[in-house]
Amino acid sequence: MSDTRSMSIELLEPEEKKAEKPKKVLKQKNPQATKEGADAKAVSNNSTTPEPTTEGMRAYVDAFLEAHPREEASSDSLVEGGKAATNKAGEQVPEKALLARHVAAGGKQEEFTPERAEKVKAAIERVPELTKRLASFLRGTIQQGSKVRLGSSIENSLGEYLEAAAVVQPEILSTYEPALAHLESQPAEVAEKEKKIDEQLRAMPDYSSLTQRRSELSSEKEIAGRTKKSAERGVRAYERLKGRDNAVKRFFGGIKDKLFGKPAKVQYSEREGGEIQGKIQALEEGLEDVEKNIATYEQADALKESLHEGFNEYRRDLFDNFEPAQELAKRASDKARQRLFDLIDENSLDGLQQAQEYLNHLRAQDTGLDFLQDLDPEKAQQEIDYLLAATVNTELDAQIEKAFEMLDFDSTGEGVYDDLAKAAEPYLGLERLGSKNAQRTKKFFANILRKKMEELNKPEDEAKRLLLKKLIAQYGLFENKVVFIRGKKGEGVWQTE
Amino acid sequence: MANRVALDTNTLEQLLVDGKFDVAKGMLNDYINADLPKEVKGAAYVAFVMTYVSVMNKVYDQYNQALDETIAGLTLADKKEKELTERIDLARVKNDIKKMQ
Repeated sequence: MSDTRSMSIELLEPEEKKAEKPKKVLKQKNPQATKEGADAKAVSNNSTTPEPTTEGMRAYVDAFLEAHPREEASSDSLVEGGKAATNKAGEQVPEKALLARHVAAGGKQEEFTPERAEKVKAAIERVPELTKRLASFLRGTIQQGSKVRLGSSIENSLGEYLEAAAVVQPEILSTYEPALAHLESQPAEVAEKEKKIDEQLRAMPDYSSLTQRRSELSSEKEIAGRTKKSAERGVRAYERLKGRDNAVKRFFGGIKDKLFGKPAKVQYSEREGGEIQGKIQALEEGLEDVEKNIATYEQADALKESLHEGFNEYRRDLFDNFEPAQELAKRASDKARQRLFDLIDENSLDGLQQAQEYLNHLRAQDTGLDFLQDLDPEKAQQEIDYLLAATVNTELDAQIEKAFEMLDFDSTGEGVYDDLAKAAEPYLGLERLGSKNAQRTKKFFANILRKKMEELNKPEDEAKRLLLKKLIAQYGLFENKVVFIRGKKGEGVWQTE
Repeated sequence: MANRVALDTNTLEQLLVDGKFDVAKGMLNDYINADLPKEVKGAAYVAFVMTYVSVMNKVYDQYNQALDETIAGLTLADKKEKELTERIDLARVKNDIKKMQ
């Protein structure tokens, strides 16, 4: 980790954030920034296309952020003329405009050669599709998994960035798609290979004893239960397998380093690596010794049977190594997701609702890797329900308290109620909360408001009580006496008894 | 006064590897929740997606390698077993012929 390049962004203090709309330009970090950015870009322009790794991406982000603190050329102000590329909004962007952007990004005019211009245009043409692709990935895999609230302007943000990136470093855009496509193809590819292995193992005469081992392993998993214990078991499996097979060791070594946080002390040796292969060699050599003595069918059959058993032993060794590799791949995948997604705040209603969606998504998932293996669905559901209830209770209470305070400034209470109704809508408007059905969700809200109402027992609380009564009436939350009258096709209305 | 907050992607990655998730989480959330220009937010989105993609691809690639080697081993076992079985049959026939001569 000797690379010390970093992205340096200026953030404003909250009060300034409120007062000032986000600007489309970054503030210049230092007087050298433009020059450094141009240098970084010049270097990147001369290099080969970066690999689709964080390193490659970082190189771009560095160059981009260093080179980008200047007044940005808006497409509106650009002179028409020259050949045009189509931007994310479907508008024609002439070559002159691209040149202007290139210069605005800190590049020199003479660097913008016709070849460079073609590259930039091709990259800009790719922006709309790439924007859709990345937004879809963010809304799907990332948003559901991380519970992060991404907002509705993802496409705009991505489009702005990708179009700017297309000018500064067009090569980077061609690295995203293959990396995404590779990941998306993996579950199916892995499932197919697992199936192939399973079919080959099924053909073995002692397949049933192998599957027995598998089921014993599963019950062990049930007992262990928790992710941490499973991870520890994965590490123990690694320890047990040390010195057995290079392929497995390489697998464990790579994953363990990154995800289990302990350095893998893997010792490679030709002898160990050749242990399994050596079994085949031994069978071949053994055959050479007895070959000349095979005279009868019985002898040949006995030898073939013995050979078959020898190969089955070899297959069992492969299976023994494959099982923990599979086990650890699941752990690693789970861990990677968990660690990445845990980075994002989940302390919000949207986040928790998305947690519910993610759980549903996991339950429905049928891929080569079973991400639900360690997760107790019932327990996870209880946790989500608890967090949802606590969050809604706290946030709704805060909105009500805020409205009560505002009553001091609004004697009629009309404006206050409108504000409260608007603020409460995201909660009280929910049809379902976690695993609660519609009726239980309504009851839950009714109970919150009833308890709040019980606190208002002084004569001077009349205005506050009125505020809550209006809210209760608007959402039909009449304590626990609310009932759902079901009509045709499952639709219905809430009525009080 | 502007508060300068730098998102150092190297540090972020190192924090993940070191297991200092709270610190990493703080850094990332400051960045994501900040009132930044759209293109900078876009850069953060792409950075996060590509970090995720890179890590998951690494996991899958290694698992795929283990699968490939297992399949290769099983295929080799089938091939060699067939080969040696044929050698046994051939040896028996050869020895039979030798006896007849």
